[in-house]
Amino acid sequence: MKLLELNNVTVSFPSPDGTMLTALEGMNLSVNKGELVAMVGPSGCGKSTALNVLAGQVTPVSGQVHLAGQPVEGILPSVGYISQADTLLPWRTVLDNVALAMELRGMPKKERREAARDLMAKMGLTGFENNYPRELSGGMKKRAAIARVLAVDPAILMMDEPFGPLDALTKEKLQDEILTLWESTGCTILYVTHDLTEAIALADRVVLVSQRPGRVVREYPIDLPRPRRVMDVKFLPRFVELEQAIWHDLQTELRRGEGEP
Amino acid sequence: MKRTLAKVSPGVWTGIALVLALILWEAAAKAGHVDLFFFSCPSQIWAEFLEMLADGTMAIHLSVTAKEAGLGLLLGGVLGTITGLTLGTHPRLSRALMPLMTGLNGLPKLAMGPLIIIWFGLGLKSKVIMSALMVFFIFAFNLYSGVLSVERELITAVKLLGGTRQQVMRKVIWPASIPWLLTSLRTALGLSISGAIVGEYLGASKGMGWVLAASSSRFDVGRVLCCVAVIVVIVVLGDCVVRLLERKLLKWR
Repeated sequence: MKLLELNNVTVSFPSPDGTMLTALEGMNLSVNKGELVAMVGPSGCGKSTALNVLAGQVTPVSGQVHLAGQPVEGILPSVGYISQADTLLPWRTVLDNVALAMELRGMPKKERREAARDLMAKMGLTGFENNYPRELSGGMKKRAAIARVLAVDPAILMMDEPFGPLDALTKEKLQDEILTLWESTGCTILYVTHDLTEAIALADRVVLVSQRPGRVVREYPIDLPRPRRVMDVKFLPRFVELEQAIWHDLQTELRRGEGEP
Repeated sequence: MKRTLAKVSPGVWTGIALVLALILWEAAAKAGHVDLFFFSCPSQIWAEFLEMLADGTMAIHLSVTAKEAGLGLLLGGVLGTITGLTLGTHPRLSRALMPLMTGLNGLPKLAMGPLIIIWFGLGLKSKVIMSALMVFFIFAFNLYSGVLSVERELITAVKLLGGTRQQVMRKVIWPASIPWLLTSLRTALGLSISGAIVGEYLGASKGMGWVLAASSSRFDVGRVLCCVAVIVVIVVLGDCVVRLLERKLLKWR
């Protein structure tokens, strides 16, 4: 079942010098319910723009966007959005940060705190309820941010290079946690990254986006066994094969970009 | 030796310097190097203080000034905060009004005193307005900068979690502005008292400013300096209270 659909979507912005800059042009993408899709592409190719369109933050010039059959207009609370930036509110304890989305929906204090405690336990944050974000490591902040969006049981999780600034070990641990989360809950995830290894290790399907203006160049079904662990899967011969194939197309895309004025 | 000296808190050094200065002043006065008529001396000022305390003048005038400055601080602070928050969250409005605000802030506020007395009379009202005028712009400009410095990502994140405009205001912009509010409060504390005192100086029958005006016209330097010292101590104490508040409210930093 198609949960999310981008149909021939074009997005343009006014650039600083006054001309219009086309970020996406005729982009088609669909994500099925329960699927984990990764979008990769050269930096500045409009991956994040696509995500912002899907989250209702950016309105396309033309084309249709549908979530669960409904046209997307404005920000959707049923989308759980996790960006690269650290967006925990620094003046709130971790517990109250995790409870924030529930608070915005008017859930009573006692209930939301209880739910937040459960979510924190799920993300391995027990014992840090009363700490402030500045007291947490980068990885823990990310876990708290994930717990915060999980609180409202989103229809889809959209992650925009969520682990970008973290060190390799923390990153891999969090990737495994995403896999566990996805496997245990059956949620739908759209994951934007420029890290090909990460994309292949996590996804059911990798979508390669072209140089700007972004459109989908090709899609690659990832037929690696599940359940996966990043550490185990990335040394499989099939993994290397896939990586080479996608890397080759990505290189072509990059060169095409350099050739242009 | 050096290490133990470094451990002494800076406050202690301030105290020592102050006490030394007072001792020096007193000694010079006692030795006849200081003309008591013009400069008084610490023991005389202290005696003056005890006298004013005993006959109730201190309580009467201090409470009048405190009330004026307190109300002025409240009025100017609340209006300034609302103005700053509103301008910060409405870019079009702020583009239109900021030049006006900057211009008005350039007014010599103390020189407005006589006009304010003419407009609002010799009573409490004119002093409260004087004091509010002194602090209004501090709050307005600080809170305006505070709103502009809120990280856009935090606002976006809360909107994406389903936050309405109002919720973004209450749960992001307002808490992010608290440090700016406290900074404003610290700066405004002394100015609100100055405003009240200048108001009293210009036309009143009560208050520390009136005592200052009356005593200096009688060349009663001891009483003038006594009042000045009391005001300084009150401002310093107020600052300590705000700092305590800062430590409590901003422990997340």
